[in-house]
Amino acid sequence: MDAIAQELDQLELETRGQQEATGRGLLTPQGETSSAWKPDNVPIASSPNSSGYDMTDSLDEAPIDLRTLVYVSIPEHLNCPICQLPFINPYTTICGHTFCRTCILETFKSPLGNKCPLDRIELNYKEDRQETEEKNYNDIFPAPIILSNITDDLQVRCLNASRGCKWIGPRWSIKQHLVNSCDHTRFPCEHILDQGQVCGQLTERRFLGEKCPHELFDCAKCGEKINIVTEEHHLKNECTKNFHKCNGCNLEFPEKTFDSHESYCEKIHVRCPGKQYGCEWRGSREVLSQIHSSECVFVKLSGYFELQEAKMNDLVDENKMLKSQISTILDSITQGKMTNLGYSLQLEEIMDRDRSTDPSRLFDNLQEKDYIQLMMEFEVLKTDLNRLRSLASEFELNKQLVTALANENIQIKDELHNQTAALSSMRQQIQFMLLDRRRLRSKLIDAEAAPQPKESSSSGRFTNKL
Amino acid sequence: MSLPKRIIRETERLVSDPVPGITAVPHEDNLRYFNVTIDGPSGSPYEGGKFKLELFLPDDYPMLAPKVRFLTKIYHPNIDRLGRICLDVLKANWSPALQVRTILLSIQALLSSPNPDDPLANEVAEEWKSNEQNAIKTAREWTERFAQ
Repeated sequence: MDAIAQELDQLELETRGQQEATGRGLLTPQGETSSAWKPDNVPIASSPNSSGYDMTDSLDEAPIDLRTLVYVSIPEHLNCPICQLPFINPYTTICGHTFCRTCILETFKSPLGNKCPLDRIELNYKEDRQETEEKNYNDIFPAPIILSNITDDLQVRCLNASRGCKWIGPRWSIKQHLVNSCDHTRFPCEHILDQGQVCGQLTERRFLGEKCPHELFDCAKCGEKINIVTEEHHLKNECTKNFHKCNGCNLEFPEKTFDSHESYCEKIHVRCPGKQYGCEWRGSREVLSQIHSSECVFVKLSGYFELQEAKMNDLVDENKMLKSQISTILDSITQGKMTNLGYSLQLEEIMDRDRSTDPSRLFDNLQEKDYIQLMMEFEVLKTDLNRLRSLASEFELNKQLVTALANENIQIKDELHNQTAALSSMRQQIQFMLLDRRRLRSKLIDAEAAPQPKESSSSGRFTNKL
Repeated sequence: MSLPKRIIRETERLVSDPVPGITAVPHEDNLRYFNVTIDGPSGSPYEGGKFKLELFLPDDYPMLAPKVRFLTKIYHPNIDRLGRICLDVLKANWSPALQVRTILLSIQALLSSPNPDDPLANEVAEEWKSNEQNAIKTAREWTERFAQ
C-alpha cells in the first residue's frame, strides 16, 4: 500500500511540475494537435484591424462562412444541436433528429462514430455516395426543404457591420449583398502607381473611383498627409485642428475629444431625467443639478414609478406564464388527454401546487374540498340506496307470496264452508231419514206386534248402530 | 486559430444564465480554459463545500469531450487523488450534442450519487462499500477541511 501511495505522490508531483511548466497541467492537449474542427467553408482572410468581407478571388469563388454571421434573433428550435447555430444545409436522421450536414458528417469521424449525437442510435452511412445508394443506406437524408427555407429567411447583419454597414436582410441574400452592393466590401485597388506597379491595397468599395484612393494629400485642417481612405478616421480620431463648437459653453474642441467634453460640459442643454414620466423641462446641466432636480415632481416620483414599472413587468411575465399554462391545458383537453394534461405531474399535484402558491384562492379551495366531501357522502348514500332497493324487492316478493297464500286460504275456507254446508245438509237428510224410519218402525211394530218378535230385535240393533 | 462560434455562445450563456450552484469563468488569456466552482449538493456529504475545478476545451471540441479535473481535494469513489473524474460522458459516451453546461451538471449529479461499483479511487470505493457510514463521515470531514 505504501509503495502505491508513494508512486501516486510521485505522479502528483510530476503533474504539478508539468502544470507549472506548461501553465495548464493535465488539461494541455498533448499530441492532439490534429485537424481542428472546422466548418466546410473557410473564411477568406481578412485584415487584422477591421474584420469584414474582402473580395480577392474572382466573383465565382467567393465562399462566405455562414457560421460567422450575426443573427438578429435566433429561434432556439432552429439551432443545430452540434454547432448551436441555425441549420446550414440541414440533414435529418432516421431517429428524427436534424443537424447541419457538415456537423453530422464531422461527428461520424469523431470517436462517437456513426451514431446519432442525441440518442446514440446506430446510423448507416458511407461517404462514398455510390456505395450508399447500392446498399440502400439511407439513415441520414436532407431535411424537408421548408426547414432550409425557414433558416435561409432568418435575418442577419452584414459581415461588414464592424466597418459601419447597417444592412440587415435574409440569410439567402447575404452573398448577393456583399458581392454586388455592400459599400464596405473591400477589393484590391487596381490603380497603377507612378512606378508602373499595381497599387493592390484592399479598399472598400465606396472609395474606389477614377483616382487611386491611396494618393496622399494634405489635411485641410492640420496639414498632415492623409488619403481618402484614412480621411474619415483622421478627422474623427487623430486631427488636432478639426474644431467643433460646443452648443452649451460656446468653446471649440477638436472632434476627437468632443464626445468626452459633451459628457461633462456643465453648460450643455439636457432634458430632465423625469422626461419619460412627462416632464417637459430642458436646460443646462448646471441648472438641472442645482435647481430643477430638487423642484421637479417627476424626479421625486421617479423612484415610485420605477417600482411600479418593475411590478408591472413582473405581472406581465406572470400573466404570460399563466397564459401558456392555460393553453397547454386547453390543448390537452381538446386532444382528450384528461388524465395528465401534458404536464409531467399528475393533475392533482398541479392543483396542489396552484393552491400552495396562491393564497387568494383559499376560498375556492374550501369549496373544492367541500365538494369532494359531498361527493364522497353522495357515493356512500348511493350504495346504501342500492342495498335498500334490493331489500325492497325481496320484500315485494314476500308480499306477493303472502297475498297468494291468503287467496289460497280464502279459497280453501270457501271450500270448507261448502263442505260443512254439504255435511249439514247430509246430516239433515239422515235425520230426516231416521225420523222417517222411526215412524215406519213404529208403524211396523204397531202392525205386527205379536207375530214377528225376531225382526224387531234385528232392526233394534240397526238403530243402535246409527 | 479563432474561437469557434459555438464556444463563444456557450460562454455567453454560462455567464448570462448560470446554472444554480455552478460558476464557470473563462481565463482572460485563453478562452478555452475555464475556472469552475461547483457547490456541494445539499443532502450529500459535500454540502456546504465549494469545489474548484479546471475545464479545458480541446481544439477538436465539440467533437472531443472537454477535459475536466477537480482542483480541490475530495473524498469520492469516482474521483482520484489527482482530481481525475470517472464519468462516462467525459469518455466513451461523449456526444457533440452535449455542452459544458450539461457536463458540469453531470459532475454535480455525480457528487450527489457516488457510484462505488465503478471506482477510480479504489481505497475510497472499498471503504464506501464496507462501511458507508464511516466513508460519508470522512467525506464530510474532507469537505470541511479542503472545500471551504
